[in-house]
Amino acid sequence: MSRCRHARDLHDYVDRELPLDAALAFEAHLDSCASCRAELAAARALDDALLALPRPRLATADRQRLRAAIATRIDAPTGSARPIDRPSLRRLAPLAAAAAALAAGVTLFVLLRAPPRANPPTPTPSATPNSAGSQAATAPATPASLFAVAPNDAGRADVHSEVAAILRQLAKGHAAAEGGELLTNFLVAIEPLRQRGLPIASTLLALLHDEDGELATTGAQLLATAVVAGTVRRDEPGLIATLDRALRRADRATAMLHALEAIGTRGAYEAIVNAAAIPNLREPVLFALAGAGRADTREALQRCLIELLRGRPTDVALAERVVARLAIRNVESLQLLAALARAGLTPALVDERLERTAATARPLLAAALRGDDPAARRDALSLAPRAGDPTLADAIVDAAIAYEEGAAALAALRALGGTPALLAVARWKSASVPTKSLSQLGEECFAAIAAATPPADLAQAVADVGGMTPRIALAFADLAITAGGAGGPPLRAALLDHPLSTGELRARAALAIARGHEPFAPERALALLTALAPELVDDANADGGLAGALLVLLYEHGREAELTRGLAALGWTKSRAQVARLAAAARRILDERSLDRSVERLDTLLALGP
Amino acid sequence: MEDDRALAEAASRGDRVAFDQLVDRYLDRTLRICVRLLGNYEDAEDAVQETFARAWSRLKSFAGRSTFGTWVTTIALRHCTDVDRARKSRRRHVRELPADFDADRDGAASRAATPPRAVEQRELLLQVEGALARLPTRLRTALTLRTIEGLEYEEVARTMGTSIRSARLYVWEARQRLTRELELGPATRPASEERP
Repeated sequence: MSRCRHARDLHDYVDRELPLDAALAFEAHLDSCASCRAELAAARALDDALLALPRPRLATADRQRLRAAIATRIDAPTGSARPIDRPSLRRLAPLAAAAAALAAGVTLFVLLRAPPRANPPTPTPSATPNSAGSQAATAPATPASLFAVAPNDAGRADVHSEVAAILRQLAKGHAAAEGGELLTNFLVAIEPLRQRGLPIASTLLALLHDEDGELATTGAQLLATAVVAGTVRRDEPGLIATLDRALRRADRATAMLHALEAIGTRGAYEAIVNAAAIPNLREPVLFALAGAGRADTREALQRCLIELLRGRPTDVALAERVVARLAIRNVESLQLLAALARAGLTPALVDERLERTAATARPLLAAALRGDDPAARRDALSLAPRAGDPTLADAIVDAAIAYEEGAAALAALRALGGTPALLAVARWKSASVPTKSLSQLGEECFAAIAAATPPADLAQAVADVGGMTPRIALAFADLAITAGGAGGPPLRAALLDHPLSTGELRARAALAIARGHEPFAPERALALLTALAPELVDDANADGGLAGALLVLLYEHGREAELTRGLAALGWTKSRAQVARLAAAARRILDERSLDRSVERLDTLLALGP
Repeated sequence: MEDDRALAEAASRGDRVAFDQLVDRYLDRTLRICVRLLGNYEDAEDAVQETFARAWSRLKSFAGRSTFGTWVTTIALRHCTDVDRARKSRRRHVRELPADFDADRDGAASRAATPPRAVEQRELLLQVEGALARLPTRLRTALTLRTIEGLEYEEVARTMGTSIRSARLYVWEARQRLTRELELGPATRPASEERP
């Protein structure tokens, strides 16, 4: 950056904020100043680069879509207008694809929901699935919900065998077919039966208990697809109870389990939890519960897994495999993970799960830390350092301050470490906390993390001081003043040079220099004094300390010429004897331990003069 | 064309057509700002939806002390700050905008005349995008509003809830950092000596 005194006009000039006469003067100056010309060229290059960034405009279709989404959100009842939970939708992608395949036959899909008509209209060719063959040509376009057919006793005796035959036929090609195709083909195939008013649904449920396990399995798969597609209601009477009973038969248990998962209601999961007691189902049930990540099954899953962790090596291995599939979709899932960690789950597995589910786990951890549930908060505090997300430091500090979780927060923050933790603890250190012990913990935590943070990171934290409040920045100033070794100078330099740094910050950094942490550099001291002189005059409260420190520095090193110029910059005219007395008084104050008091007393001293 | 104030007044009385007109007027700008602040298109779309939904629900509190554009941008900024804080999406900043997000034909990006220059230009744009994304939020916000969106400093300050002097400092600091990172200028010296 240019050292020319006109350099400060450059920004305004580029920004078109310089008054006309000043702009003309600056342009005249440019002719004779290569440094400013180079700066101007750089600034214009940056402008070109910034203005070259795309200024996107929405395409018409996107505009309409977004406007529609906004309208929907406005019209939605409170609480329902949240952004779509994309991860949960992704989880359902395979089933949603099946539903989409069904929806592609629009007429059929719509008509599944329509009430039965007495006179079916002509079939729509576009609704005919390719695989349905000739049956499709006769498929009337009037089926109601699969479970909403008026029973007709006539032919009831045949319906079981007919539906079974259709299912067997479909099962042959099912391996290559998607769920949606299976359902479509089934609906088309059973349409003649429906037209006869035969009870398809009850027959289908009855088939789940058929001696033919393969047949029952196909029936369960069909039901699962129908539930996801909305063709069968999740709360259809008898549905869960039937699946629950069929679950106990080994040759079809897995399919029944998947159907219950597809239903996904509380009742369905109660049935799944109960099935954990069936020895050969324990593993798939635990996998199902872990994958669902539901709050209402957490306790059951936790109980099973902790039992396994305390068991034989094979049990522990099973628990670990289940944890590897644990979905983190709510705070309860995190609490489960925390409980398992306490119960002896391998720490690496906890870390791995938190890492793989980071997109959901981290916001949930932050929410739990800031939430008012003490148990969830403590679990989150135990997990947060493992989540590998330094930004959680803010939430940890919130928990510390709002809920007085000082000790746990201290441990978590020390484990987390790093610059974000330091920034967060600086906030804690400078906040008005309810108790003295909490305040002391904040101090302790700040010192501990600062000591463990590399000097370059500390300097970077100060460089980012713009994102902090002045009080937080002051915490760093104290650190800067006391930092010894190689880390001190860059930290103090960052504090002095930061454009957003307050006068008080710079004063404190300069105090550190004056106290002998740095090699004496009178030119530097004078440059600072001169550069800051206008502000010092306006801001004596903040920068009086800086002035005092620098004056002492110059006086004690015998730099009378610089001292005189420095005093002149401040608009002072003092005799040598007066300056000597002033410097001696300032020196004593600087030697005191309390920096706050030093600054304050220097201010007073300089304001009064010798 | 009706001015914003009249439309906002009508909207505050429940006139959805008037509000839709305001949405239409500020949709592009709000989306651009959200993309710039959140770094990815999906989050930005969500933020835009949330912004206008909040604007609608709070229209009665819009006292007209600022323009509607400033007011709605303020809402967007606050929401983006919350989202950014929660998700730290800066880690997920996209390096490219979606293909269907057409660049303004008046923009300098379209000046690329030849394929090699286009490639070069594209690389530069990616560098600028990356450097912008790494700026602290307040600096990035100020620079986006002032230099990229062309707002007056008074408007930038009001939107960000800060003083004009601070807004100018933020923009200045952002420019310094970008100049350094993109290696556009000569070597730097301590910034405290040359603040605007």
